[in-house]
Amino acid sequence: MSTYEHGYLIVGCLMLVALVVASTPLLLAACLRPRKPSAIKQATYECGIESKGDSWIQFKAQYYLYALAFVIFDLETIFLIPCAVALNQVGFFAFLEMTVFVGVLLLGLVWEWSKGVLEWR
Amino acid sequence: MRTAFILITFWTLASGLLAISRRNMIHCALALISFFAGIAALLFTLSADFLGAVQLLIYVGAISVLILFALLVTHDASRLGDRGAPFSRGKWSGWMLSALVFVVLGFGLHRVAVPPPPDPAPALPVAEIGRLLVTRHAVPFLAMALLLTAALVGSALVAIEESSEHARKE
Repeated sequence: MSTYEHGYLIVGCLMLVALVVASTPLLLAACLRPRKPSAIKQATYECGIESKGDSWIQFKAQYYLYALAFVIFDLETIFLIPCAVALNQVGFFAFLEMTVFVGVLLLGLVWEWSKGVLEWR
Repeated sequence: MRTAFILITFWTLASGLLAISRRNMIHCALALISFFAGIAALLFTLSADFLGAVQLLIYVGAISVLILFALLVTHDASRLGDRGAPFSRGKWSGWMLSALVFVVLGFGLHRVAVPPPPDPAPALPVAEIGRLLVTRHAVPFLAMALLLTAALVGSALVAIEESSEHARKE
């Protein structure tokens, strides 16, 4: 087994541990608890107030913008990570390039901010 | 590694089948996210770390959020398919289309000549990608910043016009 596979084996083991740690209390509780369901017990808990209506309401389409902005800055990280890893090899000019890259995207963010697109109404 | 590859392939295929066959849109979206994660795992087993990380960050992280948000802002999306059977109708036409796509893609991939891998493989491919990005491909790199900004501003512009139209109606 190569070191590459070995590294991901550890990742896999950690994922397994996470799964077990997260699911064991739930499974234990499901096995041990007494089962006496009633309508009040099974009602949705909402800060102690009786919940009204449907939880599937339509949200404002404007919230989609946050998701879009998130995707774009996610893409930015994808481009920045390799450059950051290679920064020691390529020197100061590359750092300037990365600064310009971030700066251009920052301009977009500042524009959005000044137009009030990011205001949560 | 081979067993892991086969297991993950089955996982991915099962998630994909769930994603196209469930009627509740939220279930479809969750199955699709599981499918994306499966693809990322496949890329990791194929020693394509960087692509796997990209897949995780972009598809599992961002595109899935986009899809879920799209369901949230769509009216009654959750109940579109909630009546009746849990699996969608009209699946035969879907199966036919999928089979057709599979045949076309399989035929295309079969004819592609795969270039031999570089020998020896680069020690740290991510650093190599970064070095090439800021040296040989510097112009596309900066053009990408402009493109991303254009996408950001463009999406905001569309939304602003929409909300002002909304305000006029009210």
